[in-house]
Amino acid sequence: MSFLRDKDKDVIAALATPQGRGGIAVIRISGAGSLEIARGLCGFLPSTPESHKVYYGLLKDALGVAVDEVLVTYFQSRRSFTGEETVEISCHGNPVIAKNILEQLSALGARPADRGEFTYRAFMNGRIDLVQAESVLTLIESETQKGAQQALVQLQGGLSDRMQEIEGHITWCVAHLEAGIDFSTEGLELAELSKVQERLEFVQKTMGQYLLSFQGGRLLKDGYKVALVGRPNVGKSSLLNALLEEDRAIVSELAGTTRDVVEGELVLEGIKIKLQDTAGIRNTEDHVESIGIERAKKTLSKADAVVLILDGSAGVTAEDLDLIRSCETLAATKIVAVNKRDLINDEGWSKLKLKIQELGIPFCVISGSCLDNSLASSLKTEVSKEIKKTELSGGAVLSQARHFDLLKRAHAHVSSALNIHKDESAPELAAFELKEAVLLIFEIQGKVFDDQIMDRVFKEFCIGK
Amino acid sequence: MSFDYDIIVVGAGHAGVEASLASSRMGLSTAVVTTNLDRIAYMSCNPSIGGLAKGHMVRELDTMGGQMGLAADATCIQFKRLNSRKGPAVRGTRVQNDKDLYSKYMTESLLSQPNLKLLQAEVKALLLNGERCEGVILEDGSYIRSRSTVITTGTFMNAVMHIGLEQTPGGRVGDKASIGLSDQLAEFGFKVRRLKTGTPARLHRDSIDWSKTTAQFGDEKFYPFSFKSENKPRLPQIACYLSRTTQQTHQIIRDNLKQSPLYCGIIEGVGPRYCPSIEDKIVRFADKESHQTFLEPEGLNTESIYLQGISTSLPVSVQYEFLKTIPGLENVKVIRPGYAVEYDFIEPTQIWHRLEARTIKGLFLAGQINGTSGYEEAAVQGFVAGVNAAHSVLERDEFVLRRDEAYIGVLIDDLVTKGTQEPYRMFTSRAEHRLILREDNSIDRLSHYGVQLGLISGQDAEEIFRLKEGRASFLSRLKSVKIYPNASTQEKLRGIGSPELLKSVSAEELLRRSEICATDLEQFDVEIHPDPRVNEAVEIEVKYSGYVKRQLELIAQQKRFEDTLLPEDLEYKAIKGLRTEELEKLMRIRPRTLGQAQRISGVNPSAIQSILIYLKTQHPNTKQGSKSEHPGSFRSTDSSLET
Repeated sequence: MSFLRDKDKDVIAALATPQGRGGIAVIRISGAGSLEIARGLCGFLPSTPESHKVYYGLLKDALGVAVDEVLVTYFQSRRSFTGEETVEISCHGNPVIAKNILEQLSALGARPADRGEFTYRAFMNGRIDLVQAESVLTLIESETQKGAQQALVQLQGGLSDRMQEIEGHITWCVAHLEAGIDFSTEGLELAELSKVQERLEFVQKTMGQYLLSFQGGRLLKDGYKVALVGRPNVGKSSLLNALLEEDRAIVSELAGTTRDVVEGELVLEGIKIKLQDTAGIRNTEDHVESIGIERAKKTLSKADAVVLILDGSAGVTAEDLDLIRSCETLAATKIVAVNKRDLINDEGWSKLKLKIQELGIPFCVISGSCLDNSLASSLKTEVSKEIKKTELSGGAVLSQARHFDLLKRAHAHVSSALNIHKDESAPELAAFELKEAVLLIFEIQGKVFDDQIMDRVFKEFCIGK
Repeated sequence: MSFDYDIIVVGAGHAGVEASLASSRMGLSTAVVTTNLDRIAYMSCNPSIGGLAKGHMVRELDTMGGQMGLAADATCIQFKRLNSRKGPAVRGTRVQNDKDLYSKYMTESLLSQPNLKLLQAEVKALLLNGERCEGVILEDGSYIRSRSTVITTGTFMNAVMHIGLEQTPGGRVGDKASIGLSDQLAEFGFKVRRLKTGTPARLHRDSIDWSKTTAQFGDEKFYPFSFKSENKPRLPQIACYLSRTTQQTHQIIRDNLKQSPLYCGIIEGVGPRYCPSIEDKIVRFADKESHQTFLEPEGLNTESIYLQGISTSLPVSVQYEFLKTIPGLENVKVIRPGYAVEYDFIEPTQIWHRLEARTIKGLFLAGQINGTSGYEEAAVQGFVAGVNAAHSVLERDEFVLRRDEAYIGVLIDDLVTKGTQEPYRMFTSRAEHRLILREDNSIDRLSHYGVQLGLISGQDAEEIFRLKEGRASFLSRLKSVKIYPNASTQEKLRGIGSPELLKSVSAEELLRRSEICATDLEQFDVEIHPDPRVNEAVEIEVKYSGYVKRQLELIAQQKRFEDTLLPEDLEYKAIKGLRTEELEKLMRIRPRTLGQAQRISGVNPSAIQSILIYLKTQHPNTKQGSKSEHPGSFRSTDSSLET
């Protein structure tokens, strides 16, 4: 057991807002005794404050020196996020002030919270279920509005509701199968077996849709990865800049969550697009060439779309053909972007297109120029089209790989049950399959106790919320 | 202190009989006290034993040395295997019995049993010494002292019979209610509640026009409950007869509901939803035009016909009126009208799995007093209570069956964990591990307990050994014998209507085909076992094997929780993270294992984790789940035979 209960008695404290400079910073203190510790710094708090009421005053350190003007909210136990007595201190958004306050709190006995510890406590105290706990993480990490909305829906129980609905349908079917078994001698008029079949087919279809939506859910959470491939000097950097500049996208140095090299990010259709340059890896010194190729392959295999850039004026070279062929087995959407279209005539363009089509690989071919941004905008149109193809209906689509795997297994059990049900000789086996499906759905909802899931989920949490 | 008997069993119904036979056979002096020696193991309601899930329990009981299966086999007058067209796990054996012969069989079993004495007397109270039960106090004020006491009073505690708006004290026509016992238990702090049950009219055989009914015969093939019984019924076999209620029947009942004690608020006790009275059926399923009823003879030489499915507590005149509207009953004569009984039961969350009261040592409760319904539910509890009463005297460990071992385990665990709101009847759907809790493998699952308890010995133990050995060796033979796709094989397969072989397979693989049964294998030169009980069990095991494997995996997952015992004095208040509701329930029910704690409604996964962590830190020596082979399958032995 990785979560020892001794430490769960501690009062914990941490910054609940992102690190760095902002308007305000919120420090959360949780656990029995939080109020007492907070009062050590915030003398203005009454000994029995009202829950959910905001108090204003000066926060002073142990020596009585004023640190900051703060707003303090008190939450009594059972009425807070964690379910424990909680105090939230809103101070000015200066990292130095926040750090100082946390140190003061620590001196008074509030231990810095572990990664995910507030959420862990909220779950342990029955304030949120496992699905909600997982979505806290997504909410914090969402960088686009759609992703945040979806996480919020999950936090409010959207996915739990959907799972409950599926569970309800399956349970209805099990009940009818069971009645047919246990009351077969009573001459009861049970709902005809065809009704069970209809309902199972409906459940199977619904689950299938949720599974399909996983791809969409994953996009909301992880973004859409576009890998750019091409020989040197075909216009890759120009294209990259055109893509990024026009959208005034934030160029991040390194994405924290992935080891892939990300050159920049932009947002299309509410989805974060991560641009990855693989060629940069290839142009390394000889001794690391092999490592470079390995990494390039890995990047390509994870990409949602691969964009192969050609210099139109140079035609399709042998090296280009090699690159094209190396993309053949990839699952990603494949796009050939022909740069410098303005430098070739229509005949040359037709020949070039034919040459690519002859390879028999399903490439989508676009063209344009990096000079006037026409290539960038064609590419964006193409990527937008791809994103729209994926189910993104705002509801509680699946976004966690764990949920996807469990639901997929549950789906398989429902499908087996349907097959068995068609031949009426083994209702007990159909019921068995359906009960296995229900257990898996319980697992998605965190309704069954499994310390391994708990470990897995809480390992992913970041501190703060 | 001197005792008159090691064990006193109060009541001689289906629970009392099994309890007293078990304890006396284990060598303990046992007295059975009953108010009426003429009604031993009497079938107060339907003259039949078994049914879905109930038949399973009778077999389980038989495998461990109980008596019910033998009595039911010996007095069977119609045999049926229910759900025969569904899978083997949910097939159930049911027999009609000659109720007088059944009672006679059990009476003789008790009379001929060494260490067992039958007494006719009424028990007024328990002889309590502090928190210990030391015997019983009779009506005349005399004491009988014992080391353990088993109460099996059925529906008799504070019982009231209802016919129309009239009430008579009593738990069965012709027998008195037992007054005093439940009040004493209530005073001691037990939660006592009220249930209701009902029985239909008994009709005069000669007053029925049988030509208007449809005869329903039993199965040709007889599979006895008991492994000790012969595979042929001893008595002549009879038919039951089907008829149906009519619109007129329903109208008469609707017009007279105001005279029904159920519908004018006289009866407070909760009746069984799965066995509603005809009044209930007509009110609750108003759009149903007709209900079926079986006319079941209560024996070979009796005039009495039981009218299955038409239990009622309407006044006698109304009963006559509506009965005459059922085809065949136009001129019916009623021997005894239907009636309802209300009685006290003890909320069963107040007893341990061993069926001993939590707050009174040496007091065991079994049967309808624990809120169950049915002869079979009563009998198996009687057995478990009798064994544990004996173990308590002998200072041995408690005898508790797990949910993955037996329906009996499911029954008792449900009762002591969840309690019951209505008379509890067993269903196959209550057993989450039902695919391995089958009638055919009850011997493989449970016979070792019978042997350990000393209730299966001598020839019986040899017979068990022979059956288990036979199954294991037949299965290993099936695995090793190869069948080749030659011309003669293909021809035989065509004859059976089974697809030809594409490559050679083992006999086991061939048997997995749904159209092939064990006896077909003889054609392929596979030596089959002369005992059909061996072949059939192996056939089922083979055909079910994929699912059995998955079921065993699920059991293994659950096992570490089931095997983590919780100390009876666990300090729940000291466990952090339990909510008030959880704390209240855990302290009241005091689950025996972590697995049981999980099944208490309202106890959340987070609470289970808290308990587990508390145990690990505070009770590091608590017995925790270990991995062992599941006894429910004889496959465990065949691996050794294979090598």
